[in-house]
Amino acid sequence: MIPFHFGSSEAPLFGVHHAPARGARDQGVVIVPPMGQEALRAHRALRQLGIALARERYHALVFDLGCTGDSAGDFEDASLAGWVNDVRTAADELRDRTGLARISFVGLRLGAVHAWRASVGRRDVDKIVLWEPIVHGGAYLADLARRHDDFLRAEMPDKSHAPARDEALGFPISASLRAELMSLDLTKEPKPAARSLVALHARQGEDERRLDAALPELAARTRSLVLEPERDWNSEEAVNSSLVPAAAIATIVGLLGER
Amino acid sequence: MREKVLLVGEAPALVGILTEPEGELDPSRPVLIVLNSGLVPRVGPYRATVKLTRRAARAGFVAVRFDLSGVGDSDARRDHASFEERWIADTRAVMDHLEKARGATRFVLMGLCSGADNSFQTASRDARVAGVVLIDGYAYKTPGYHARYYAKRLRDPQTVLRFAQRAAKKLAGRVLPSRGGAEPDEASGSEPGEAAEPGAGAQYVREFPPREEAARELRTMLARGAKLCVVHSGGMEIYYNHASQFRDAFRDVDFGDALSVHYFEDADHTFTELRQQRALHEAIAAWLVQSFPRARPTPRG
Repeated sequence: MIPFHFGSSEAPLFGVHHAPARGARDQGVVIVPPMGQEALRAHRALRQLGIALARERYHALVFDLGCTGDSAGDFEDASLAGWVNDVRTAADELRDRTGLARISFVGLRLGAVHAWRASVGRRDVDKIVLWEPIVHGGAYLADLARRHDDFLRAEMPDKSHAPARDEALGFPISASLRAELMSLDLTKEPKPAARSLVALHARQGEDERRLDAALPELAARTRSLVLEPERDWNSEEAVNSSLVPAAAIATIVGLLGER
Repeated sequence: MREKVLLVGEAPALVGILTEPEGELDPSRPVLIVLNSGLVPRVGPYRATVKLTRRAARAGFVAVRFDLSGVGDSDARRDHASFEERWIADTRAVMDHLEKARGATRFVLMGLCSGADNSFQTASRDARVAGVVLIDGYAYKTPGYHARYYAKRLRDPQTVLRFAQRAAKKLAGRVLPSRGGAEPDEASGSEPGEAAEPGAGAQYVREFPPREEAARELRTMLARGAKLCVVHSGGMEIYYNHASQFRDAFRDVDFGDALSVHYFEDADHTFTELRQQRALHEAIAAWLVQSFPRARPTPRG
């Protein structure tokens, strides 16, 4: 495990390179985190995914998007466009460090959107795993607002709280980030440039069904799976727990190994 | 401001980030070290630790955030030490590293919840700790706490009604388990619902030391000139409900001018709302600068 900074010296990104002990496979994996509090909740799961991939002889890079985690910048200045560039930078970094010609992306929640977009125009992407992808930005914002209000009501039932609009679960949502999210509909995005595209859903709602219906047109090989119910990584309890969604991690490692 | 990866110890190393101010460093100022809150990675709840360490660096302090063993990016250690012993040892290992590598001799430890407890315990054992910032750390109920607790509930007709219903059921011989409105069990110093699992099969349960022991340790810190910034949130009303409670609980400790107390009544335990985060960070940054001012330049000639 090699923690390091990379990218521009003015706004470096932080990442952890999980390298195989021996006999690396011929492709690396860039793991793209979700946004805000979801990134904190997922930290341990993504680290365990990186470790599991290194055990299976992949070079894996788990990193913090700009304005998040240990990377440079303030969350107030974050943008979807900036995050997509960060994924491209991370992919180039992993290739430079390892000399590998091909990479795959695993993107969790909003990270799946960045991975999809970052692949466009590239010729080195083998697979993209969309792990519980955000399909519709407006629905995602509404869900964040509900979670934020529910959390504060549960934590401080005696206090009144203004409805959240400019913040969600401890993180600011700038007007420009909100606008970018509101216009996000994954089913209307330009085709991702990958040989294989896999969607992993935690549930099968309307947005998930819409994405699955569009999938066959998007890559040479596509699949959609609904994950087995297990511990919910996306909860406040999970942020203070060492337990990770082990079955989902095993599924992803298995999918990346498929020809 | 510059940031570097900090690795402390042999594999498995502790992983952290060291933040340095631009320009010349003032060696008289302590290094700020921020500890994990439970199992939250070193960036802290809502990235608060990143904001605070960067803010401290902009104010001229070297600052470190790192993951204790078994938390965030740091691997778990396979030994038989308790969580408390291991985490104190980790914190001291980081101080040892900074002393050896950078000549740092004084430190300010900061943490929320278990991070506050770890800061307190390390500070009571290690004379290099010149200050602590304890956010929702140890607290002890006072007569004033109980008075405020019951006065507040008596003003709420729903609570009075629930209390009357419980009393009636008790009288009828049907004792039900207490619910949210009831006061927590005072016999236990532990905080309900505060359990974590950094290692397989083990559990961390937060416990406060007896008040007398905490008072003794505070006196030890104060005797060597340590400064204390004590912060409590309204989210921990279960054991703290007034700005004066910390001083009231330790009337037998002479704090002199070494204690600064802040009470954020409207904030939850992790300071979720941005306005509360801003107020907290402002208070801590002001305390740091005031408590550890820049050394005056030595007159030349």
